[in-house]
Amino acid sequence: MAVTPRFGAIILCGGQSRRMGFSKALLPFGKKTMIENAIDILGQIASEIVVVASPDQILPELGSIIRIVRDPIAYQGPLKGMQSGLMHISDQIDSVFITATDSPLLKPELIHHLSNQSENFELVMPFDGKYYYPLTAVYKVKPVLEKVNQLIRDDRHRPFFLMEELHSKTIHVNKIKEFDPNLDSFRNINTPGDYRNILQTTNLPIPEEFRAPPIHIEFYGVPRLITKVAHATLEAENLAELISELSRNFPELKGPVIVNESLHPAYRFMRGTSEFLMDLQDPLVANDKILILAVDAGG
Amino acid sequence: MTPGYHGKYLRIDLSNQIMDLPEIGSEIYSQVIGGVGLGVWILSRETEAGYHPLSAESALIIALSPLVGTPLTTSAKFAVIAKSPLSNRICDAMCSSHFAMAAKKIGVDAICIKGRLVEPSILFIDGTGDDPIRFSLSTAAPYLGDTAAETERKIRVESGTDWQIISIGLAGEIQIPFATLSHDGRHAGRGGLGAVLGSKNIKAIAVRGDKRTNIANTNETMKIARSLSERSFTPATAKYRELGTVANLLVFNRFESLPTRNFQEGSFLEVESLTQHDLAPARKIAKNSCAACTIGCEHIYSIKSDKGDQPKGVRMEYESLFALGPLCGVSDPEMVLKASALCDEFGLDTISTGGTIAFLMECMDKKFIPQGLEDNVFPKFGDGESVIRLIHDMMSPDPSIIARLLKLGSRRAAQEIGQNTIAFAQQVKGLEMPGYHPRKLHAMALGMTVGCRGADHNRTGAYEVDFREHDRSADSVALAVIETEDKAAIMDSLILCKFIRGVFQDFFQESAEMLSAVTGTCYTKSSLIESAKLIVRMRKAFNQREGWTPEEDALPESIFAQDSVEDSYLTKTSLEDLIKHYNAGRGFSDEGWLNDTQMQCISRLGSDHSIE
Repeated sequence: MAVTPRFGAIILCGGQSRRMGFSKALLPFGKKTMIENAIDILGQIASEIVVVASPDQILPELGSIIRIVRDPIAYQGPLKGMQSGLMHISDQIDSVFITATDSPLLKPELIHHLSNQSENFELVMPFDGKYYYPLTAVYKVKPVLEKVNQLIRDDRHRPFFLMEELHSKTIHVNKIKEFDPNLDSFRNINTPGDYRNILQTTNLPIPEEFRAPPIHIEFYGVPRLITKVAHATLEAENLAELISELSRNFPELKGPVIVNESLHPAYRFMRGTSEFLMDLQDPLVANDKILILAVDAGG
Repeated sequence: MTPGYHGKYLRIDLSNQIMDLPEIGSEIYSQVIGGVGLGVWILSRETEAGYHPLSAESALIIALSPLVGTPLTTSAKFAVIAKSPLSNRICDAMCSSHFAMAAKKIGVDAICIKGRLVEPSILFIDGTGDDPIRFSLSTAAPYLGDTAAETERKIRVESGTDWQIISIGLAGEIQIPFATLSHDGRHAGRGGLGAVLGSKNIKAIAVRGDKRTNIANTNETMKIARSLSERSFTPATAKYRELGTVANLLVFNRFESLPTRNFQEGSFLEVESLTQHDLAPARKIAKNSCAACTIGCEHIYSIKSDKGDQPKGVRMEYESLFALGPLCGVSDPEMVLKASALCDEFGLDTISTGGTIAFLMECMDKKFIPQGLEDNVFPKFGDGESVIRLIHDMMSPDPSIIARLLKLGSRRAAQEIGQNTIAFAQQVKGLEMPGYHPRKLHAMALGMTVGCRGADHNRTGAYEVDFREHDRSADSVALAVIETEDKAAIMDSLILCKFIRGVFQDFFQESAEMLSAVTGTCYTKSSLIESAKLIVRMRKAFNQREGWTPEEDALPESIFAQDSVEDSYLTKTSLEDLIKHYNAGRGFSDEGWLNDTQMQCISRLGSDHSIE
């Protein structure tokens, strides 16, 4: 993919990473960090890249061609970050792709496609029928900066307001599948579970300190018949992640036991023999014994 | 006539060899529905208080239901109802398949057998053609000692394959109080109904007919039937389809609820040797299903044949596996399969057989041995050979003293042995406990304790409460147990197989729709719940008439937690508290008696339930 003249990119990496508990920019992604990975992807299409970081944020050596801008005050939200980025992009750049540092599977083809749609619009933003993606979108530098400044003055800090007030085009994600069949570009990392999931998708190793606690699964009845094992040890920090791990390790469970990333209502999880686990976000702790059983006990 | 029904039952007085066809009013059907409900109603009006279950005065009822013969899956079932010779209380057991459909085609909704013949006989009931229903008798001499399956086969060879047959094995002939009555390899297993038939000198009943009942709303019935069939293929029934009930073994073991060595423990160390995974690949030779069933829960296992014999298969269920395996401490699957096959052949309830043998084993362990008996004749935990030997011994014309004790069932054996061995005779009302150790399953403990049939897992689904998230207060547990008992009363009266229960979103609502479509009578969810409560009360009323006392609603002493065990274990006080809440929830007196209004409602139905 060739670099597009007058097209730049802004990476917002100054967020708090609260749910992650670790700076997302510095998360290992293969041999690189996430920020380096983002730069590598964007470098394939953008002629200039600005990284917006928080005042004291530690970043790896990014090379002299990357401009690093520090927010004056930390954690003021994405609109402030966009403001910093847009103010510091050079004059030759007409439009920019703005992203965070946490979407490691971004496809340059997708960015190119959005950029191609942007000639007559100030903002081109994907939409999936429910959500808009302002941090996977292409913006015209000058009019957007003006609007951002105004919104900040008015104390209206949601990026969504840009969509309403700029001359915008939304693109349904279904039309993007041509470039990104699994819509991987929209998979971002907010939690350690998201991080592990993405690493597993890409067959990259999970750093030791980010591994989920080991959980001992006991299969009974049909799940045991299907998996052909009585026990397994998987790593997961909650039921949702456990289901995802079960699907990955025992794909044959999908359909008869796991449906729509949830347990089929004919089955249930128990922690030991006394605690019924109902909520997918129920936290698991190391060495939990989780039983997968038919609801229909007895008979 | 109300669609789905014939409007009458067949009453045969064997002593006088006469029959008649008493009518049943539509107001009765709309309240008792069929199956167990109808059977209890007939039994109550056909018998006098205080009769002996194996006397000529006793009655055996075979009750059908409005759903029999419809395309609704699992509906080809019949209920058998009588006073149990094991418990002296109500006994109702289900059986299934072609007999249900053939019996209904006679042109009646139930068959009531009273009196007694002088000689062992086969009873033929013919409802074909334009002639009125008629019955005939022929000698059972050529079939005596035969298995039920062999008897069925021979009669069909000799009389024609249009006959469908229920039969008893040798255990029924010699009136062992836990003898079964069976059809096509399936047993109305609990409580000794086979002995009741045997006491009437009937070896088998053969039926045929060609009378069909109408369906009120065919389109609606077909629609429901299609939906039910589709749902019967979903994961909700996969356990039964793929593994059968033996899948319970490992789960119950994990929950420390697998009764082991006569309920002394709740888990069995050698359990893995008995699991379906060891049994299945090498041994499972066939799967089978009842007539009109889309689930197909029967899993047939092969047994190593003795020299010169044909290889045999045995249908294995969790209850047989637990009772003849862990309950007796037996871990050799070959021994368990053989013992189970033997019970099938003789027509013995596997739970009561295993339960009583396990009781005798514990007597041996604890040196509670009746005078005049040598130690070495007692069976020992873990000795599978002795289980098989005892079953054979029990059937011999001259059984040993120990086999004579076994023939009594655990309660009466304990009474014979004395020395307070009743404390570990694991039964309620004389019926041996099924494979649910109640010390951690408090809802099930309550269900088994208050159950009219005795310790029972089919007239209550209380274990379902224990195996789901629930409020553990006594009041909530009691109400949940009542609900499962009500649900079972309707399933057993419709009749539908319990294995389909997981597919319903709203069981009472969907059942009301089903019944309304078939019968044209307007049933609602609330009317069906009322019927359920009435059926439960009618069973209780029968027991009260036959001498029930509140003391019968109790578990054996040995079940209760001693000091220094886990908090989650059942105590006598906690069970008594549950019973109190159950009685309140049912509207009974504190002690558990039906109240006057409840009795009056039952009396108005025309059943004789006078309580002294």
